[in-house]
Amino acid sequence: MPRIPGGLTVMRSVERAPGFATALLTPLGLLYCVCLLAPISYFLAVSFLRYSPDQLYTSTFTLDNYTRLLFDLYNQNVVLSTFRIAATVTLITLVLGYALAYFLSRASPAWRALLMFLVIAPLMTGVIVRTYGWIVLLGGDGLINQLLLALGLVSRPLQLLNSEATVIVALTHLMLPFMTFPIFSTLVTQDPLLVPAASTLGARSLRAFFEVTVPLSRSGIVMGSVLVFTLSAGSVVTPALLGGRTVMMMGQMIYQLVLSTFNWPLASAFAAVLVFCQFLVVFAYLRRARNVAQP
Amino acid sequence: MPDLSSRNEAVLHLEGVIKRYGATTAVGPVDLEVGKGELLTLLGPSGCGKTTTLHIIAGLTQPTQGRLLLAGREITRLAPPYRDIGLVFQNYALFPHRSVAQNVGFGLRMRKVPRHEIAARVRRMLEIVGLAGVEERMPHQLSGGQRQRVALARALVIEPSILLLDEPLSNLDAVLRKRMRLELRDIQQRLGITTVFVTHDQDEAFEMSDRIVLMNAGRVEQVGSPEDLYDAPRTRFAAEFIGEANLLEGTVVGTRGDEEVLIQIGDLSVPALAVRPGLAQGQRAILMTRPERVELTSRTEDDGTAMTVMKRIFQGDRILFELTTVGGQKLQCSAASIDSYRSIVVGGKVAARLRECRAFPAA
Repeated sequence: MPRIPGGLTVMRSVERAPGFATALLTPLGLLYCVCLLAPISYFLAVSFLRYSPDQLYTSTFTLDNYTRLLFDLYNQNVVLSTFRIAATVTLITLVLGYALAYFLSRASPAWRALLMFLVIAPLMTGVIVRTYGWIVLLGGDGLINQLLLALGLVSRPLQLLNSEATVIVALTHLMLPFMTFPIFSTLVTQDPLLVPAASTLGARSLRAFFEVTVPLSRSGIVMGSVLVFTLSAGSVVTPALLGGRTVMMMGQMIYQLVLSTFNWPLASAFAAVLVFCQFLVVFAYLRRARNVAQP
Repeated sequence: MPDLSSRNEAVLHLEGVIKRYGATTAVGPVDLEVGKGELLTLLGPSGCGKTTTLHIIAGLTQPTQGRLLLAGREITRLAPPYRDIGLVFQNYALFPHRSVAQNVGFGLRMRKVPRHEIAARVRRMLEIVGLAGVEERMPHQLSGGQRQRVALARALVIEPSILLLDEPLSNLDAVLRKRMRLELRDIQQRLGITTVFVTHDQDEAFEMSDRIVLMNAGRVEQVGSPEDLYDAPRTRFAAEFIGEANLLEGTVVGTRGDEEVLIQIGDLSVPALAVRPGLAQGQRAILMTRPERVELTSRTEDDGTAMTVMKRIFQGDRILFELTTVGGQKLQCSAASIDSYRSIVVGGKVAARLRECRAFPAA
């Protein structure tokens, strides 16, 4: 008995010790300041400066970059397709990831271990390796076209690469674990008797699923969607390699503006809009999640 | 007690219900009838198949064989939503994201009952279970006892043909458990709802049941009123599982009719009722009697049948004695705490009279 109160006292005094939280959070705070806040502040500032072909930017204040971004048809299209692709990928991974997570949460331990490995496995290879995998598969003389030609189903190779659909498929594959695991963790902790309870009260399977299982996995859905949406919206390599010239997302655009065109002010404006929109989405989602927060 | 003489009165029939998992038989064959308004208890040790049987009735488990009839309708292959049952789970299984009122009203909403009627029926049911005024609370804001009542209200408000209770009291503390037993029984009788109750606790079974089904290793060991099971266990398992029992091995030395036998244990010969016919002269038999049915008298002279008091445990209202018979078998006696028993001490010699004994064939 005396050990427990003693232990509690120690715990409390540690919690209360001045600077305890500070000590824990300082390293992370410093990292964020140096690696995140500083660059963000920098590009925010640059986005309001005038572009100059020979010195990157001049120190003249202007809103030109934003007006170019928002009113130029091409740039508009880049912004719209970025969020269209991100939203589509989020929706598809939500459906696929939920199904997968549901299956995982109800699978026997042996199956679960195997499937978990299969879900995580793609994360072990780099994004470039995986993307080249898709090229090998979908290219003009890729596996699928060879198969179709061999079977005589087509006479000429199909154009499978360089389309928005390909980018969406590849991103979906890439993002699936980020959707699956948060949902899985909310499903696996659910009381397995809640659905039977609903069924004895008269709820058929589908009804019980939408009345009980889905609402209780809401926090996983929110977390997964936020992760997938922000990661997809910020993707560079996948659309660049698989989208060809037909797809231009904001990440690629920024990459090109920074490294090829050297228009840093416009790149900064793109970055600012991208980050702002992502913040907006995260904020809206989390707010909604908090409104329906469960214990 | 409800009248079970008329077979038409039975609300639930189980006919030859068997549940197998691979080669092992988890349950059965079980044949049961539950009368209208009756509270039938499935009692047994863990793993005896009582919860599986309840889940078969609820439709959460499919029987391998057999038939179920509820209110005259075959329900064997019917999914739970179509069965017209109310089930209270051991952990209550309340929906954590719904308020008390939403939990209780869930079944009514599934039945498309109009909203204002749901509110009224929920309120009335919460009053019946003694929980008026907590409609808007969330399950995590309730105590264990309150959650249990919400679960009960949720199962009852849909007015099912039968109420199924799966160890509903086992998650409550001892004091609350005792109170809830009586209250649960009271609510059940007031509503007159036919109930199947699962428990491993014989005190619960005794206090609440009209009839008890004692189960062991998937089979029905004995069915009867609590008194039947206590007074006349038909097997060694039943005698040992329910209450305390003295089980002494001896030989049948005399029979009269099919029922009465005389059993010789060492130098003691004791009359007993055979639990089933067929105990023959000379056969080995087990004699069963309850500790409170053993009467002791102090002995000064030793005529050879005297027993020695090995232990004396004072319990306030009762005194528990452990004796050794001449044959070396142990005998327990639980006596009222009155002077004639208080004077019996450890090491003393006593004569024991064994009353209301039963006899089984020794396995």
